[in-house]
Amino acid sequence: MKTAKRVLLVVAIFAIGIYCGKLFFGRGSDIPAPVPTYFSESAQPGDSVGVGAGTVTGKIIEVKNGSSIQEAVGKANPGDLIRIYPGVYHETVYIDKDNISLQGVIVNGEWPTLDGEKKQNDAILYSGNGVLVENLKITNYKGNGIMGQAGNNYVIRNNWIVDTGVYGIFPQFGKNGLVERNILTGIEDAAIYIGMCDNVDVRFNEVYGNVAGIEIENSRHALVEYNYAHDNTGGILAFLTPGLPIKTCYDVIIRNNYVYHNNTKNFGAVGSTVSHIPKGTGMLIMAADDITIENNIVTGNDNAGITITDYGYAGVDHASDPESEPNSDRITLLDNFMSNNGADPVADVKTIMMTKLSKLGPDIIAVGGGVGSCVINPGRYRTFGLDAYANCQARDTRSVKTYLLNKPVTPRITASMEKGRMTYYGVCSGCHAYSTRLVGPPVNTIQAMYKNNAQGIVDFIAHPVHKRDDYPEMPPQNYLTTETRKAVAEYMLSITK
Amino acid sequence: MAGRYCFFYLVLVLVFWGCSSKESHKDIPQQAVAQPPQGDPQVGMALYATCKACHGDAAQGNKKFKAPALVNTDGWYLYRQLINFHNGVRGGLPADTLGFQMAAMAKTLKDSVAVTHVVAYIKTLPQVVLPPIIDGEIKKGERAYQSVCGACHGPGARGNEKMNAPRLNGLDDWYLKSQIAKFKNGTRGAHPADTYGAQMVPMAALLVDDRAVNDVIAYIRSTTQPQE
Repeated sequence: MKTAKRVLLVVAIFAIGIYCGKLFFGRGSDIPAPVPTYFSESAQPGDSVGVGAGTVTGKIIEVKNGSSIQEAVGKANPGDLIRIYPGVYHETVYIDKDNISLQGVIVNGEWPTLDGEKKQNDAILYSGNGVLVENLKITNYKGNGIMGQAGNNYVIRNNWIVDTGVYGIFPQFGKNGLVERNILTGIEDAAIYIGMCDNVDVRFNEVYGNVAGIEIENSRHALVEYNYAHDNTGGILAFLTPGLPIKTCYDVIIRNNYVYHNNTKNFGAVGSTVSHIPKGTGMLIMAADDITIENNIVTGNDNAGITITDYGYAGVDHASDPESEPNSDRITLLDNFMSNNGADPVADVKTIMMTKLSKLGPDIIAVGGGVGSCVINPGRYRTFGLDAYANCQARDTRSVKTYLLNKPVTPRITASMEKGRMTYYGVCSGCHAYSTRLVGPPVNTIQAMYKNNAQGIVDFIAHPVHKRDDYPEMPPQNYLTTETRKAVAEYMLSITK
Repeated sequence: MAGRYCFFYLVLVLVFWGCSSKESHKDIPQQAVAQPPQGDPQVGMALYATCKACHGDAAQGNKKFKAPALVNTDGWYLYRQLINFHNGVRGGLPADTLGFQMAAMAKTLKDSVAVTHVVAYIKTLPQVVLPPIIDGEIKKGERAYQSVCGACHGPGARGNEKMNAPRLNGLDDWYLKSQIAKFKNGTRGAHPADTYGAQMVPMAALLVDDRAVNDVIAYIRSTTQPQE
């Protein structure tokens, strides 16, 4: 009897194995598709009610292979659901309406696919509020997979994003948003880039083979949990980049993530901010404050498991932006599991190793200024520079279930006098900071080139010409009205920090 | 058909420039400054005699006279600056002593065609490696270069003609420093017709102090070293 049971069990395991294998590899692609997983108590249907996106109150519009998603968006009214059926769609979808849901319909493993054929810049841009984007495969774009431009209350989930250029999922300057269960790979800057956002949950995503896996930049109240970040140059990052209009990055919880083997050679554009990330970086905290790191598995990252730095050590020039405070303050390192990090660190870290007589690089390294940081039981890790870290008062972050708000927030101000500023925040500052190079030339350089010539910018950004071999192409902004382009050009020429 | 167009182009080029070159141009020059035509190095060699006294017989420069090396600079940029000197767009201010001298010398070249000949001659001379004079921190300078200069002057300070930005990595370091100082103190880039010089004025101001300038220059110079 016992033997029979055992045999049955083995057969069952074998069958499950074959089934899973087919599920993952049976689609003629090396890249596994996202499989919705509900392994968190809070990840039940209805958990994003507070975001408001995905609440369908209007009609359902169906898009079938051979027709255009953008046309459907044009026809849609707020509250409508656009269902996209399997097929290949070569287009850029721009959503400037509120409460629009884009939902892919996956039929027998066939995904609706947006394919930019390496000609188009963006797959999906939205400036509306309450936008939902889910169940889409997005590939071969040059700029962004999904970019939010100052849209609030967004949900981006269960998308499969492969090689979409500079950024994969990039909600810019949005409040109250959820990014979950996406899989992203092949992104030359940040796969998931939370830029200048407030109240965002990033969870259950898998990011691999990117320069930066998940980047929380100049954002506040972010919860990053249950993500799998592996084989990037850097796994999970929290930055304050100087020269952006939002001058703080704080209150970020990074917990329950698996950060493994982020040793991919940096393939970011030379001179861009992320191009300076050393390969082998598990987590990187730079000039961000009130960061809590808890219950992560951080292992096999060859430079260092967790790097905590200020601008000085990171070599970031912030002289032109004194408002961006350069130190990482109040970093809280709770229980984490770390092993096998630091097998092949960069020269700067090796120098520190020599002074410590250590043959291996660190699990955790903290360099530069910063106050109020703490760590629980550091003796279990190989650490450099944590001498000033106190013992933490906090033991866990259990009290924080989510950073999403319990009801949707109002849209950002859109009065015409604000249009220039909003457009800069929501669109341009994703690549153009004031004084440092993120991706494109800094704003102060643009000001020098276009002094008293706003019209020159208006014309150029509608039909940009690629002039710099070492920079990604500037994507055309001709989906913005001339009036908007004029407003943003004038705004960009007027800013001083 | 194609042959007829080629012929048409050639005629136009000849009409516009009275040029003896047999090479056909892709574009008809619209503006003297933007599109230097081909010059004749033989004619240029004779005209260069005037320049030799300061810039040296091989245009290698001479620090004693504060005359920079010219051989490492792109022809289109040499052309533009000679025209600027010629027209008083550069070196027009007496406060800019050296520029003022250079403007006087440039005026001895009779017209833009003569300028093209001189440039053509200089471009036949071999490039030189220049001695390091200024000390700075390359690593710091690299970051500053990338955030301040690189958008126009390109990777490795090699210049970018599309941005109208000259190559910097073959210039004397002391000369780079003196020009940044001039952009900062208003003796260069102030003329209303000096569009690109005017762009340099706010950019140079971003290198806040002597040290920042030295670091950037050290980086620019390091890019001329052979890569490992």
